[in-house]
Amino acid sequence: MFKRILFLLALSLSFAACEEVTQPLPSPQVDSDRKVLLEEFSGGNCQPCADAADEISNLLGIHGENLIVVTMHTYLPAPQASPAPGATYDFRTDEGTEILNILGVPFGIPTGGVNRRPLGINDSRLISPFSAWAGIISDELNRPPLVDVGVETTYNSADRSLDINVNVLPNTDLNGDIRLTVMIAENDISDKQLTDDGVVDFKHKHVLRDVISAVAGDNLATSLSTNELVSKTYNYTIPTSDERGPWVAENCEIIAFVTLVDDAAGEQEVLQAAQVKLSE
Amino acid sequence: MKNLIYTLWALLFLVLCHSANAQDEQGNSGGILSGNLEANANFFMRDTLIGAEGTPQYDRQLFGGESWLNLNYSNWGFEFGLRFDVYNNSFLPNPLDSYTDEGIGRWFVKKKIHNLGITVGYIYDQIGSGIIFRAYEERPLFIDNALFGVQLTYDLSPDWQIKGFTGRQKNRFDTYQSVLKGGSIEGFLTGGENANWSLAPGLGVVGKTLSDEAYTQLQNTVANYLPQDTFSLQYNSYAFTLYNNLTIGNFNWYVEGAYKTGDIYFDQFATRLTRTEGGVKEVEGKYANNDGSVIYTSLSWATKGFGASVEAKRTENFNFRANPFVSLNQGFINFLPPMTRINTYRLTSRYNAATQEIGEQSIQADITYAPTRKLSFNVNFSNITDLGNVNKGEGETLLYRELYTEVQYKYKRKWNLIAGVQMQRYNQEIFEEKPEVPIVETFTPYFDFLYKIDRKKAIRFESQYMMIGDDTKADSKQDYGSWLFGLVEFTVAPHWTFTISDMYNIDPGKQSPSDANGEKIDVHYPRFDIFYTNKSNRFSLSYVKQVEGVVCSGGICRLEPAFSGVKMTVNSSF
Repeated sequence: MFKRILFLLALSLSFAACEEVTQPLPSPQVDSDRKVLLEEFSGGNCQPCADAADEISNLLGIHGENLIVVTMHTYLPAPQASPAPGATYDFRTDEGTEILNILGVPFGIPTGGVNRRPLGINDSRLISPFSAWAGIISDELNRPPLVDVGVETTYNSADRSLDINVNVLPNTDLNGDIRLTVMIAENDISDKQLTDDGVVDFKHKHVLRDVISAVAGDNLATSLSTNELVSKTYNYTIPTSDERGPWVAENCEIIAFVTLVDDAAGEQEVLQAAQVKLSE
Repeated sequence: MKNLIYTLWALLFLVLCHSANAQDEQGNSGGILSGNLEANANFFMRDTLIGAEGTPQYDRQLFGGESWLNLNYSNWGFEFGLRFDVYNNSFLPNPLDSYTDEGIGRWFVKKKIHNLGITVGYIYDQIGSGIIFRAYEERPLFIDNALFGVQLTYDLSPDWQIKGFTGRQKNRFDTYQSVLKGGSIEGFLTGGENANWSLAPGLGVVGKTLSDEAYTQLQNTVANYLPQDTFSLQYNSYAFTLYNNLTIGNFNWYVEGAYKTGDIYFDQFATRLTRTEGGVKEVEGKYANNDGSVIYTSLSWATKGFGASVEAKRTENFNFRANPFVSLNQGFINFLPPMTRINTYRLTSRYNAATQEIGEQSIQADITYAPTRKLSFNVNFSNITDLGNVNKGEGETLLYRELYTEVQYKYKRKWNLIAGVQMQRYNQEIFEEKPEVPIVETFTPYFDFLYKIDRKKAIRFESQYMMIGDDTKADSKQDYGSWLFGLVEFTVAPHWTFTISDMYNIDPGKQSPSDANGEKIDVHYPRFDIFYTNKSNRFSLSYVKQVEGVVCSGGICRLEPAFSGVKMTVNSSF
């Protein structure tokens, strides 16, 4: 009996260690030069994806221009990835699907990658649930950018031609496979979406239209010195429409980001991103 | 590094076995080496009609498989264990993806020194019924929640034992970063040799300490919430349990109560506010920091020809994971016992009530009556609801209800008939997070007839007809509609079993595949199996076409894939 009492005493003591020091919550707004890329994977037939869109709106409200979002509809073999019943357009792209495969195949959608950073769980770069995006975004904003990225565009509405010039300026010496990815996304496309209230008319935002560079990024350099400016120019013609519906050039935005890739180790991360709206 | 570790372990085993043989020659104890092998091979055959497509296995890999070789060696009062796991293009972790890796899935060393038991390595164990802690393996679900650490036990007396452990939970070939620790005391009391009662009480506690990385991510996440949804965080959370099993004559009563202190988890049903362009809106799913509780009890009574049992469970906020950022069946520290009948027939087991760790209350009753040795009856009833929401004035919502009846008649040793009816109500909206779908209603009569042709040969017929309710909104049958299943099994003892079966979507529903004109198709899902057993070796070869299903949790959905192809399995023990 004495031994039992001794054990219970030891047990209760071991779990009654001194109380933790409570840490205050940090401010959600981070004063940062970092522009964080959120690559969201969504689907028209996916009810939580509508909530994820609201969450993105919320995060953009908090982080403003420090957060850059692109929403990709993919050919993930799950019913949620399909367009909603009665939808006019099919936003799914091969490019989005290819990017999804780069980040890892998810259990389902919505899911998203923040700066393609691994979460530390099974090497996945995809974060679910969407409620967890905010934490990683704040964390990334606290890391200073290793490069600066600037995007300049010249759009000719007569022939819908678009010239894009991307300037990359390292803030430190960089070694490795440094790549540049350039995408075009469109805002405010009205089409059906499955929501809590069933299938409704919905304004789809940040929808990936095309990847202008190579999907895995164009090779920029294998080493860059501090302040060694690298520029790359792209010429693109914005279609008036394709099988995914009409393209409204004024609603389009160009997203560019620099990644440091280690294919052998299967690793990569986004060093910095930039975004320009064609309407600006 | 990985190869070096494999080599070291293999060498260690060889040295141990060699030492054992050497000792044999000297007339000493040689120890015991035992083990088992489980191997699965899947050959994928794309079938676009049923949705068996689009994954790497169907598109390009064409083959996937898994294997586990388990070796145990005991000598000199030690036990050593080693398991080598192989996953090649496996769909087990994620049905939409392909997973390839291999390595030492488990090792352990165990030693008993007088009353002290020491185990280090990957440990499988549980406290009570597992409500606060269960480290276990469930290969078909890709669950391997071993505790990687150290466990000490001490026998206070022949009937009382204390236990303490610490470690981290296994995650594939790695571990989660959170640190777990815990302990328990368990005992056995009885009134003496002639007493007809006994007690088996126990008390346990488990603590979890979040990693700095997980804590920071949580902190940053919650900081982004609007003020009314934020909360302060802590690194540590604890779960306590008190349990007892009382036996008096034919009565058996088990009761367990568990309490969890504030712990941060993802509640997929809770709502929070977000600021959007259109104003403040509610979104579903948020991290929460709440304490939780579970109370579980089961009472059973059995006498000649009659047995009855009643179980009840109430769960509130008992999502207890090694990492708050994992979902579905990943990272559970504990195990909440399910409260429904475990059905085995193809159609009666189609709709299952997954345990709801956020909140549920459930009851199950089972009665078996056998008036003669030939005839027996079984009735099982289960009912599961959520906890309702008093604040919102919402009552309890039905999650699952099942009535299962069974009659069994044995005629000499010649034939055996089992027949009955199953009725279910299944809340697909909750279990699969499918919006705007009605509660699935099923009515399934079934029979199973076994006829022994002679001493070696037997033939068995099985059939179920699942009638599904109407989805008035969609103007069709609910879910996949009604099904008819038939199976014929021919056994030649002791080696061979052949089965042929078909699951036929006799009255297609809203989810059934459509043809080019949008008309629903009544698809057949056939299956052929050959099983060969020889002593401790068992082989199977199957052609399978299997309907898909969707399971959602934590705000994300997971496809339980349609399968089309050939499966082979090998099981062996030595």
